Amino acid sequence: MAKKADATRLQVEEPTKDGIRMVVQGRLDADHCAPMWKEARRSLEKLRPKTLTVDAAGVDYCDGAGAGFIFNLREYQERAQRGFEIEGLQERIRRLLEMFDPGEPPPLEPREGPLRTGLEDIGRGVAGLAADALTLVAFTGELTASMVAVLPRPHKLRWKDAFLVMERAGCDAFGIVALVSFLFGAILAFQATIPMERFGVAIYVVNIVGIGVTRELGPIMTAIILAGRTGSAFAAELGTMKVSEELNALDTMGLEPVQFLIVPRVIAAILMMPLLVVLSNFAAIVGGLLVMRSVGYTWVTLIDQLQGAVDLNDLFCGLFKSFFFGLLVAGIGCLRGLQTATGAQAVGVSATRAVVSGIFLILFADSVFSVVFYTLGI
Amino acid sequence: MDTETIIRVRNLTTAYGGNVVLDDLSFDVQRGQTFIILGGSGCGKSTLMKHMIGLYKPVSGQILIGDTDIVTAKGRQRKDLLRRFGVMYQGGALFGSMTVHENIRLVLEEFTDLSRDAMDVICRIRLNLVGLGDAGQKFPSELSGGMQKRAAVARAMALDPAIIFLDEPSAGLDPITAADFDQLINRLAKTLRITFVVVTHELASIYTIADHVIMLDKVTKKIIAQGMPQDLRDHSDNPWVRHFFNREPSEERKKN
Ligand SMILES: Nc1ncnc2c1ncn2[C@@H]1O[C@H](COP(=O)(O)OP(=O)(O)OP(=O)(O)O)[C@@H](O)[C@H]1O
Ligand SMILES: [Mg+2]
Repeated sequence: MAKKADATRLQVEEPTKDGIRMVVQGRLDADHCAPMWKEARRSLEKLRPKTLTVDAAGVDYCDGAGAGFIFNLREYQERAQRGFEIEGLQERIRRLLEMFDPGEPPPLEPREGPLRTGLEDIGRGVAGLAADALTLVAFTGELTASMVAVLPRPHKLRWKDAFLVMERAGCDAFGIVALVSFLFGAILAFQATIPMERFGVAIYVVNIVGIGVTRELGPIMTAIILAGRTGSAFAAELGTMKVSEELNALDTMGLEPVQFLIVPRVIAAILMMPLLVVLSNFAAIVGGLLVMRSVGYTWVTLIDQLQGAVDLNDLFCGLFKSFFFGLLVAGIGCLRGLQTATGAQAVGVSATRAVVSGIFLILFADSVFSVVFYTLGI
Repeated sequence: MDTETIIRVRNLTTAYGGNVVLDDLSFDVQRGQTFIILGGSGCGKSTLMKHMIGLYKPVSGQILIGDTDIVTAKGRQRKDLLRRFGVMYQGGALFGSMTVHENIRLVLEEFTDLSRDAMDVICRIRLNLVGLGDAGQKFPSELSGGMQKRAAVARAMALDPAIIFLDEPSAGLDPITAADFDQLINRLAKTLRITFVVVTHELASIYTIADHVIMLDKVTKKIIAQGMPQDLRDHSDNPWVRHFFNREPSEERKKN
């Protein structure tokens, strides 16, 4: 092999008025072709010959890469509407080239103006959003119907799956929910104390923390953690099943994916959310009160103030919302999983979309609740 | 034609965990030969192939490619060996995030310093060879099962490898495409002296392409027969081997 390699070379002869001749000899494979390829293209670009004649009599080995070399020269000449000829091919090599024919080069893609694509993108984006909203409504309907259908026959629900999800989405999240809430409560109290103290009303920080956490921040924080931990996991699980055609298998076995996979997950999330929210409220208030205590208030004052500030109404408002947040986060996670396109990175895309849509839906629903509660005077 | 042994397997024993799958195999593959690995489902054909390409480490034994043992080869040496291989996995294993064309170009980018349009011509040659000339810009998920197989074969050939490993290349292909495929293998083997190691169950295809067949057995975990397929069919003293080639049910084997 090595002794032939030395003999591999490309020689460009003096240009005549008709064009140029290139003499190729030796071994045409990927390693030997690469330098020859560059040299040949350089002389073609410089000399722009009317015809290129390749003398290939000395070629004694040619593989796919070598064929690529020859065909590339031919295509280059043809694209520039100049001539190409090859001569002296050994019969064996000629047959090989026939076998390795690359076919017609693909047409060059038409370029689109940046403005048009920009406008097009906006249009497509809006249409996509509208379609997405519609799917969401349809999915909500299907999910509700499936959940209602389970009510009279609770033994039909796959409780084993549901309990497993409860453990992963609920129990396993206790630590992170408690920690984040505790810190959040402490930070809130700390930041509020500084300006309020100037007016001598620092004790009202307890009201801010108490009401803010039970009505809004506790449920929202918990729901966002749920979206990050569990919504994304649902999307990835169902997405992987979709990619490996497990969902199709379920379908053809007569098992409804919504009934079989999604209802247990959603029910588990709905049941765990209030528990997590109670924990979150508790941890956040403890964090806030600890800060207040360190500013100098006694426990008795603080608890007394808290009792006056927060009533059961606030707590139930928060818990009521948390059911819906659980439903939204779990539902959108599963929906994004079902919508997974094919391919490995599609699963990642679905998980991301589950979290983003989940957080958006939480905040959207929360603003709706705010308006409703305000109007009803709750 | 002079023969030259290109793969030497010596006393190969493989296992998953404690489960021995292949026990003490030894055989040779000659350069330019189309070497067929046969055997019932689950007997370890894919396993043998994955060991031959150095994907898994055997419990014991040697797999010499030329003079290098792929079991112990490391770094540069291993990379040089792998460059001479083209592999098509049983599941295709195309990269889903890239078009078919990019799948093929990837190895060229890694191992050669060809220019972009040089690589493009080579990719098109490969795709045309397997009859996918117009599918280059598609993503693997947009291809049918058989088309994915062919695209995977095109990718295996990208670097003009000396040895091409194919795990069930014709499963899922229609008879005509499968026959085209056999012809392609024969032509590549003849004209370029490419060595093929093929796992297949297609009897028709075996008779057309095989130069040598080995047959693995699930129970003994050894090679139970080897040679030319016609000889094995007509003259093997093992009834199971004859049943295999005659596509007969295996009652006799169960009775034994
Ligand atoms: N990654 C793995 N871990 C554990 N065991 C495995 C693994 N891959 C294969 N096996 C086992 O090794 C044995 C051989 O598997 P292998 O995939 O090599 O079979 P095969 O001959 O290719 O079968 P088929 O014709 O169905 O593709 C089987 O019993 C299988 O259960
Ligand atoms: Mg297999």
